[in-house]
Amino acid sequence: MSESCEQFQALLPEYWSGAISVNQHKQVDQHLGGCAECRAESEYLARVWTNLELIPAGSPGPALRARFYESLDAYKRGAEEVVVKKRVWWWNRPLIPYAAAAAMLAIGVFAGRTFEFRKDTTQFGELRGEVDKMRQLVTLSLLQQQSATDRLEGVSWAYRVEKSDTEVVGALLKTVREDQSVNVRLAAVDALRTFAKGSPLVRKALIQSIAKQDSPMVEIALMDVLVELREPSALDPVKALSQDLKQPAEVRERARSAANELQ
Amino acid sequence: MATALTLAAQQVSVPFSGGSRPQTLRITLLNGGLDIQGYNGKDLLLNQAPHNLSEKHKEKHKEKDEKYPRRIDLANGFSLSEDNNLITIHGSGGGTPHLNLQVPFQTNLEIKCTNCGETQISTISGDIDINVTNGGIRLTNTTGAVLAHSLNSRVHASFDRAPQKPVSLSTLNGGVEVTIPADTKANLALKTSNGKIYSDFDVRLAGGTLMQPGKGLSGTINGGGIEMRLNSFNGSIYLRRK
Repeated sequence: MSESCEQFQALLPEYWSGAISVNQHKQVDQHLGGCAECRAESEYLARVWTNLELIPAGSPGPALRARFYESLDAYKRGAEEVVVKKRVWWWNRPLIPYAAAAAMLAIGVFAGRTFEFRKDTTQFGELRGEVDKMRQLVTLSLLQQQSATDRLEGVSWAYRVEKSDTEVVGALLKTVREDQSVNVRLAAVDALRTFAKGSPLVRKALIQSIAKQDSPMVEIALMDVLVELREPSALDPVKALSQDLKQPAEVRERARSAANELQ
Repeated sequence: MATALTLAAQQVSVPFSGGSRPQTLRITLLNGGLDIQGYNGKDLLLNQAPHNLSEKHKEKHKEKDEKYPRRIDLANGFSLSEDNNLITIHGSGGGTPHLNLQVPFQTNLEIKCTNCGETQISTISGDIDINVTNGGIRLTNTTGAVLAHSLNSRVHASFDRAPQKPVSLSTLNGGVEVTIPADTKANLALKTSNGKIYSDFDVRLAGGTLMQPGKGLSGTINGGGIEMRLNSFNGSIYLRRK
């Protein structure tokens, strides 16, 4: 693998999380066009990334809308039938609701048994999906605000979204790299801890963001998370950090102890 | 009292122009000191009077003080501008002035200072975002959200009333000291790598691994509420009951 391949592969997590500049995106595209090895790696990452996306959140979608109008129509028809059928024999009357109730019960039991393991395909699942979507939107929009307080609140919201929400992960990673406020960055590192548990990609992105920090506090917090998650691939970068004389003494000290803990 | 009046007469005032943006004071300072107080008024007030002088010193300078007008510009190499409710003070060189400012209570503060003495901020109800490299931070009776970071010195915050918005204080080499009313409801995230954590609150720890090196400690007081994040590397953390 040539050196440039390594560089491009390092960009891939950001490429797939959308946290990459338009220019870099083009460069990666170009490189992928000409390099089979990187393309394979990229496709592998893409599969992982899309699989992550598949896990949660049903969208409200046209199905819910159609179903709503269906039930509205059914209700209307029902109401009309009551108006039309004025004469109903007395023994017929109770049967309809009883039959309906029995049918509902049967359907309920059947549905309960059959669909237990695929809750997300039910209307309840769709509603939950909508709530997730809303939380995601709130998080993403708060993270982009001018005011540091709003962005900090955005980070708190990130705890409420699905742990596989790639857009939120991308936004949090961007916050860790670029946010003006050290405190917002620290909070974002903390929030990413839960996302990083199940995702090697996020852990990789966290390792990469250490080098981009100007704040020793955040560098240390990132190392803390990687040690906590026992991420083996952090060992070499952390070792390098412990010997980098440009780093403040506190960072080198933490990097040394982190390297020991990771070994 | 008499001095206070003469000082008041020698303030320089800068009006906020109003407008869509929330009233904000943004300060970027390379060297100097900051003392910012909220007050019940509409303008930014600059108090350029000499202060913190000993009594003896005051006596000595009395005649001079009375005879000569005070300096009304900020300092050499400083700029001050106002645009759409945002007042910006920028100082990248020149002297090391100690700025003594008063702003309306609800003003939001955005402060960056490289070498400041202890920055003092009191009675502000706006949100505060402050980042200092060398120098401590002391906050008194603020009621808005607080994000404060000092790289090398102590961060101190004291609240008469329970904070209602997030409080996030961090320092690499200093300690963090917070005093809050006993009934404050908060979710705590406290972390120090080489220091200790002290509190006289009954803290209820929660969530997974409760204590672990590098992870700090998270829990609630009074059932939980606002987010309170106190973070240090080399210093200790004190969470005190008022």
